[in-house]
Amino acid sequence: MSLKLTEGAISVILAGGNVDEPVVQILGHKKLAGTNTGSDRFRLLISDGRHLNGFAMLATQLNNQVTSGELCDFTVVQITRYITSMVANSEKGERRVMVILDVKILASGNEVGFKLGNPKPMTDGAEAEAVGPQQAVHNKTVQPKPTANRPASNVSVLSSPGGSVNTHPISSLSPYQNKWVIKARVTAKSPVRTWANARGEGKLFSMDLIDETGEIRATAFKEQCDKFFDMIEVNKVYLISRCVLKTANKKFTNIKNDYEMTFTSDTQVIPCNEDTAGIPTLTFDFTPISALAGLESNAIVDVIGVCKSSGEVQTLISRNTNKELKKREVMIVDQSNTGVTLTLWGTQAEDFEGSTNPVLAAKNVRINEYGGGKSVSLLQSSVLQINPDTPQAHKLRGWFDSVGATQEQENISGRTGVAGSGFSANWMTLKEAQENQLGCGDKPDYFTSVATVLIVRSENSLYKACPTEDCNKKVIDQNNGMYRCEKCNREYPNFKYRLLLSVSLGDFSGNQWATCFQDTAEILLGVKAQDLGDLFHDDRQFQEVFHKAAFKTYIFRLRAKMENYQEENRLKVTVTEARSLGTMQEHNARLITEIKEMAGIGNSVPYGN
Amino acid sequence: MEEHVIEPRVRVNGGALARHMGRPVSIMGTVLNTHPNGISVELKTTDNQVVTVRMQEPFQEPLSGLVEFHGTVQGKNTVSSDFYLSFPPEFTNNFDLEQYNEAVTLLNAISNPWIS
Repeated sequence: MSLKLTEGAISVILAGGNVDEPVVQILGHKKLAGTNTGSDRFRLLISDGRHLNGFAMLATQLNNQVTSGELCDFTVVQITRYITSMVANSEKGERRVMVILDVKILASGNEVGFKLGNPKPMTDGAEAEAVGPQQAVHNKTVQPKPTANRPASNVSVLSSPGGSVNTHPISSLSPYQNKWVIKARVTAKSPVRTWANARGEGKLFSMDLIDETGEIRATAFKEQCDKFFDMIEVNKVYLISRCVLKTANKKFTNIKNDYEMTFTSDTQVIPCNEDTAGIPTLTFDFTPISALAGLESNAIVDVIGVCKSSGEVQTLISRNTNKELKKREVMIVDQSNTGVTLTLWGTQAEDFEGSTNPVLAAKNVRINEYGGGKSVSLLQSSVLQINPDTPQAHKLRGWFDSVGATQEQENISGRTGVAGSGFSANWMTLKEAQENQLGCGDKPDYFTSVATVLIVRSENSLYKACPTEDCNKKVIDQNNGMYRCEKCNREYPNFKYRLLLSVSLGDFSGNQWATCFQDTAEILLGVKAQDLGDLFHDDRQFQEVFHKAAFKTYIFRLRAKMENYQEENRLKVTVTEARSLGTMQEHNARLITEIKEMAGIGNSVPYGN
Repeated sequence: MEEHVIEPRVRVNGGALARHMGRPVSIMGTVLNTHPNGISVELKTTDNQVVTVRMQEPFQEPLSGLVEFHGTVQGKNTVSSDFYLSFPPEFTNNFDLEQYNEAVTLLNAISNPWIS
C-alpha cells in the first residue's frame, strides 16, 4: 500500500491553479448546520502531505459518505472533481475555498491509521486552524442574516463548470438568506448606462433572469458592470450566486418578483451548458392590440403582431441629453383587427427590414399617449424578437397571409385615423375646460373642442430658426450676414422661417388663447411659413393672411399644461391638431347623446342637474 | 317708439307642424316633386312626412334635393313660404337626415332655456 499524496497540490490550488485529480488525505471534518434547504455541510481538513487545508468544503451530495464513515479521518482519497471560489473574509480579506465535488476513495482511514507526511498549515495562517470549535472569523452559517454575514461555505463557482451543485429556485430568493446558487437564463440584457450627478459618476447594466420557478431582475454597477457586461449573453444559462437581494422597484421593470438583486464584488457568474433544457426561454404575456387602447399610459406590456407597414428612420435630438437618437415607427396588426404604432430605436431601428411583413414580438414595451392615440415604444429593458418560432407567431402569420394583409385595421395610434379614438377623446367646450381646471395637475391634459378662430396675432408670429433639418431653435442674428444657433453651436449664412402663433379661439361658451406651432399654424393661415416670411416686406398682403384666418371653425385637439416660467405658474394651451369640420357626424351624435342625458330622455340615466 | 317684436322661427319637421299652427317655422326636406304651376312643392321631411309648400311667386329655378323653407304653418301639412334655401349637391349627399331629425325632435321636445 504505497499511497502517494499529491504534494504541493494544495498550494497550487489555493493560489488559483489547477491540479488534476490530486490525492489527499482527510485529517478531520466538521459539520456546519445547514441552510434552510435543510442540508448540512461538511468542512474537511485535508492534507497533500506538504500542506494542510482546513477549508475544503464537501459538496452536499457526498455528505452521506461522511456520515457513513467512509470519509473518516486518515482516509486517502483522489479528488476527481473540485472547484474553488473566492470568499471574502471579514478579517483576512479574500480567501480561496475549495469545494470537493467528487472523490474516489483510495484507502479508508481505518486502513491507513495515521497522518501521512508532515503537512504544515499554509502560511497565511488561517489554514492552521484545525477543525476546531472556535473560528473567530467564520460564523456559523446558520444565521439568516443578510450580507453582513460572510460564511466560508460557498457553492458559487468560478474556475470550472460544475454542474451538479445544488441550485436554488429563483422563487426562494430573499434578502434573508444569501448562500444560494441559481441556474438561470438571461432573457434580457440592457446596454450599459452611465451617468454623472452630484455624487459622482456611475455606470450599470441590468438583466432579467428566469428559471423554472420564476424570474428576477439583477443589476451590476461599476466594477461588476465592467466585469460581467461582455461575458453575459442573452438566452444563455448561467450559475449565479452571491448577490444582494432587496425589494424590487416596480417602476423600472415588469418582472414579477417582490425582490431584485444587485451584483457584489463576490458575485460569481459561470456559464452553464448542462441540463439547461429545464430552464424556460423568454416568456411573453401578450396583450391583444385592441386592448391596448384601454390601458393606461406608461403601462408596460408585451405585444405581438405582423408588421403591416413601416416608416423611415427618423433622427431626432433628445431635448434632455442633446444627443442624436434614431427611431423608426412601424405599424403592427393582430387578429383583433386593430393596429398600433410600435417605435424602434437606435440600431434596431436602422437594421429593421419591414418589407417582408415579419411577425414582431416585443416584451416590456411601454404604452404612450401623445395627445392622440396610444402607441407602444421599446425601452431599454425591452426585447424584440423578429419572426419567433412560436405558435402565436405562426397563427399570426396564417391570419395575415389569408385575411389581415388585405383587411383594414383600426389604428389606435390615432394620428392618421379619422375616427381615431385618441383624437376624439375628451370633448369639452372651452368654458368647461377652464372650469374643470384642465392642465393644472402635474401632467398635461388633452381635450377636443369645436371652436372658431377669433383672431390670430400677426406680431411676433414668425421667427428665424436654425436651417438644420431637425433643429428648430431660434437663431441669433449676428448682424454680419451670419446667424448663430446655440444648440448646434454653429453659425449659418441662412435660416428658415418658422411660425409660432398666438390665437384666440372661441365657441359659444367662451374663449381661450392658445399657441400654434409650425404645423397647425400653417393649417390655420393656409400658407407655408417660408412663403409668409417672404411676404414680410408687403405689409398689406402680410396682414391679409392673418385677417383671412379669422372666423374659420375647426375641430381642435388642445393640450393644457401649467408651466413654471420665471417663477410664475402659467396655464399654457397649445394646439396639437387642427382639423377641418368634415361631416361633423360624430360631433353631432355626441351632442345629441349629451342633450338626451341632460334632459332625461332616452335610454340614459338622467343627470342630476 | 314701437318695438318691433319678431317671433322666433322654430325649426320643425313634418310631425311638429300641427303644434305650430299660424306660427313662423323653418322646415327642411327633400323635394319630391314640383307642381307644374311653379308655386307649389311637395317636400319629404326628415321624419318621412309629406308636406306641401306654397310659394308667393313661381320658382326661378327647378328645385331638387335638400331645400329649406321659411314660412308660416297653414295646416297640419301645409306651409306657405316666402323664402327658401337650396343646398348644393355636396351638402345633399353628405347630410345625415336621421341625425337632423333627432336634433329637431329634441329641439321641440325640450324647453329652450334661451327663449323664455
